[in-house]
Amino acid sequence: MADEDPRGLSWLLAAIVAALIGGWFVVGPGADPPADPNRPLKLVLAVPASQSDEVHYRRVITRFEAEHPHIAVEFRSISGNYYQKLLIMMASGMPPDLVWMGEGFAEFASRGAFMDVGDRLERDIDTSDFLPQALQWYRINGRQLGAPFLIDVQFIIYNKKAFDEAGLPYPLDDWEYEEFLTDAQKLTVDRDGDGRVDQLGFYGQLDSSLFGAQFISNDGTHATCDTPQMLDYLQTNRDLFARYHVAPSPQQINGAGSDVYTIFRQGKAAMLRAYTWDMPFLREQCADMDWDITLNPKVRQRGQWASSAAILISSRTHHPQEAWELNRMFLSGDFQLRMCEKGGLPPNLSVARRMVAENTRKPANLRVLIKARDFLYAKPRIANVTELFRPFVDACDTVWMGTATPAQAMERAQRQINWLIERHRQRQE
Amino acid sequence: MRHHHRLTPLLYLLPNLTGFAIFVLIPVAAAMALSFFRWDLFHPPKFVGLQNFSDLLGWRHDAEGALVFNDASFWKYLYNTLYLMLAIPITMFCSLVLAVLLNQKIPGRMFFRAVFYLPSICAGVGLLLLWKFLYNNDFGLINHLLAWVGITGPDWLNSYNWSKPALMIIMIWGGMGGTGMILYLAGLQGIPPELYEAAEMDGANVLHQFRHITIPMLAPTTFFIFITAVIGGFQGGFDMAYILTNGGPDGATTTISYYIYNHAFEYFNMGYAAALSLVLFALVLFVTILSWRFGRGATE
Amino acid sequence: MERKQNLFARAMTYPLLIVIGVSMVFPLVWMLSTSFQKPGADVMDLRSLLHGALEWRNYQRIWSGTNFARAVYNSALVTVCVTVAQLFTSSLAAYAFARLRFRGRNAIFMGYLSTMMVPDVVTMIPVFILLRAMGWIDTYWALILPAAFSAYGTFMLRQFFLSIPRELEEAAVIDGCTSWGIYWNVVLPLAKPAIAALGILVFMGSWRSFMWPLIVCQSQNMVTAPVALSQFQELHGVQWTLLMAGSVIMLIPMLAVFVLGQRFFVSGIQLGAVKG
Repeated sequence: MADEDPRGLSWLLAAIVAALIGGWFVVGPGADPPADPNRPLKLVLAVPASQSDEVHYRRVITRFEAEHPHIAVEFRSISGNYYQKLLIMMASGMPPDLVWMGEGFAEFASRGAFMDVGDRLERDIDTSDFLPQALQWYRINGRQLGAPFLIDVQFIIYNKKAFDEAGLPYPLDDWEYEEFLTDAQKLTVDRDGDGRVDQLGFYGQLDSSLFGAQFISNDGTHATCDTPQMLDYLQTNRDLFARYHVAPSPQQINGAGSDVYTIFRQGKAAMLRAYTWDMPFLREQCADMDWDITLNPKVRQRGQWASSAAILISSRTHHPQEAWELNRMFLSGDFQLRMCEKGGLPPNLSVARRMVAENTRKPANLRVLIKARDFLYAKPRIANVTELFRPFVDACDTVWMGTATPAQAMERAQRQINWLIERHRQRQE
Repeated sequence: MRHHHRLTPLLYLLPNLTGFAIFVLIPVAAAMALSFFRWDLFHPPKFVGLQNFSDLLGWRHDAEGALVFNDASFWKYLYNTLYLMLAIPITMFCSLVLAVLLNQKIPGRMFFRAVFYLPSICAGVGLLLLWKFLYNNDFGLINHLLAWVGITGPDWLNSYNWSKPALMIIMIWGGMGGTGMILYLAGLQGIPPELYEAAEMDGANVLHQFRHITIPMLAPTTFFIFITAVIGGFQGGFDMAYILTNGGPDGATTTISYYIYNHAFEYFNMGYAAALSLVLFALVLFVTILSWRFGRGATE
Repeated sequence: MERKQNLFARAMTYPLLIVIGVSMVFPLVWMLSTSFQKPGADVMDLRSLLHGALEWRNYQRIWSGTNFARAVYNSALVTVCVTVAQLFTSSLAAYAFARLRFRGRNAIFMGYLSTMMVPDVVTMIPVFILLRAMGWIDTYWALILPAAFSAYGTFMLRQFFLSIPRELEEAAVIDGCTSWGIYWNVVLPLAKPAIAALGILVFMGSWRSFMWPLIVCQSQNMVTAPVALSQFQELHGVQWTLLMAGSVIMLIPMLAVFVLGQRFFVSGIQLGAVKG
């Protein structure tokens, strides 16, 4: 028998085992240190991992624990797939007391995951200058489940140098589609004359809210894909890349991810669709560029896509009052300001004004975020919105690929979505 | 050894069987049971009999009287899954060739073995995003190279027809030096060198030896790789679709496993996801038993 | 004749190996160079990556700031336990399935095999609830036990055991060996290449596994290395330089295990030993 077994191997294995055992004594057993006996009551707060946000959460927790000596707050920063882990914890009967919610809110809320805090909110929080719409987003089936501390807004960022080179004035906040298109065409340039475009006018697509289009009715009872507004949305965006060649296809935009910063910085696009969460990356990666932001041009109407983030209380918490005491701290103007500074719109008007006034960094035109408050459009807050959205997205792909006309594609989406709605309705009975 | 005690086999099976029964069998049974329930993960599961299965596999007449499937997506995604599985035989063949090449006593074979295993080691979000970048229509390396030889490359990941081949290329590239190659290398050690020596004396050339000694002697290994690849293939395609294409365009890269994930954790239809899994299970079991019958010669 | 063939085979071998090999090294080069960039560098701009910055601070930050050492220890402990447990239990069961005769053997074996056909996605919650009932959430048990018993390993070793010539064992029986003696002294040594292969695969799978540890780890102290690394993939945006520095650290043990393990890919069976 050939034996290549290196003699050192058994020693190596022994060394590994010894190291593991030795390591045990160094690092100690796994679980957290035992709970502080002076703090018999424990609240668990779960948020998605973010190094920049963690300090702000911890600051609030420290203050809360100082004010409530009998309560310990366990802070869980969840990396990877936040919603999936949360879902499994909730489904297995160990929900955190307080959870962060963003875009996934509607699915959790429509299934009764969160506690009604309407009365407490009215009693403890001054909502006089709170964006009314943002409160509305968290009202499901007549129950107020909380309020956001941050609103994410979509906007357009533009390269000032590109506008200068084209001899164009910078876009104004109240510009309209025709100006936008003319600008985009003038900003689409082939610098070296090789027949390939070197700078695209606009890297993005015009949001459906600009057309007054929405794929489903607000109450979720029927699809609204085949409206003239929706067809206009699809045709206009298809024209941007297939007819005017001023933008890439929406498929490419959606697939570009964080590459858009590179595209913008390298001058491959003069205007970029961006979101408030892009702000820290834009500030970091495009620091040596001259850029600013503006609102979407008016097409059929004005509109800015929006979403928001909130801390909500689990409907199964054993300590509703204590959880609320912590929750209300996350609604304070101070916390809003800290979380929104890196990119975001505080829901309280006074806080938003303060943030804009104190801003010393790019973009200079940050105040457009306050203007945007008047026409924010969030995803409909209905059950099964993720599942119902899928046929719409698929149908849009066929328009972008050019394999179907907007009318054909939306006829299909309409049919499929209505069938799903109908089936869910039957199953509920 | 044919006269061992009646309970001897039990002793050998016990360590594995105990843990297996608790941590695999019970959850699998629970998942199967769930397929007869509707469960939104928040309210207690509700027994619905075979409703999930009729929603999944059944059909109906639409307004014009035409026959339509209740879940047309399922059939489309099943097709996608099978399509992507075409990469399995190609990968296996490449693995076999690599293993045979690297089983020769040539200088640097250890180095090359490690090199070909690198994609399995580096696999992850980073590697997939690197591929996404390579496939990019505007500035990706692949279309640059194709343009260099005068071919206008497709917009790989955004094309209905090219997105699946694009994913298959990644699967083959990443898979050929991976598990398959390792198992073939291990399997090659079981072939007695005397067989080759005898064949050489009879004047058989390299290809001849490959065909008449290597391939038949590796049959048990091939059988194992094939079965596990098929089982894995039916459940595969999630990571790539999740990171590279989101299952698009127009669902062209959504596989069954992606669809199950969506129903379980995005659409909150856990019962339906379980029903999907049970149907998938039946399908894989059928294919496995079929392969078993064909591959019996190799296994017994 | 023989010599000529060998020359031809070798002449074909190297160009092929090198061409394919280059494409396989590429991701590693990218990971390495990314891990040495300044934070916020443009990681998809391949040209700029080559003007090598040497930012060791990424590695320092990984080690010092983020409890990464603890996570690596957890990963190592879990991986070693899972690998040893799987090799031991799988080889025993595989031996029984391959060599011992008992009633219902094939049925039990098919039962094993069929559990591989149920996707993890739907068993995840049942396993979680089971572990919660046992009070093992957030312990090493939750990380080790569900991964320690696999149908895959049993199936694989069974296939390899089947291919070992029976003559060798029959000789051992004549010498009066018990079934344990055959398993330990004959089958296992002969199956070294297969055991090594399975060892590599199990190690790799456990060391890299992400979803399950993410779900069962609750406290910071129980986190495994892949989960610790995922904190650099935030909801909006990835910290590539740190993620890749961590990935490179993670990669070293995998490479080491592979290089060690593949040394066992040497012929273990010689018919001459039987016939002689």
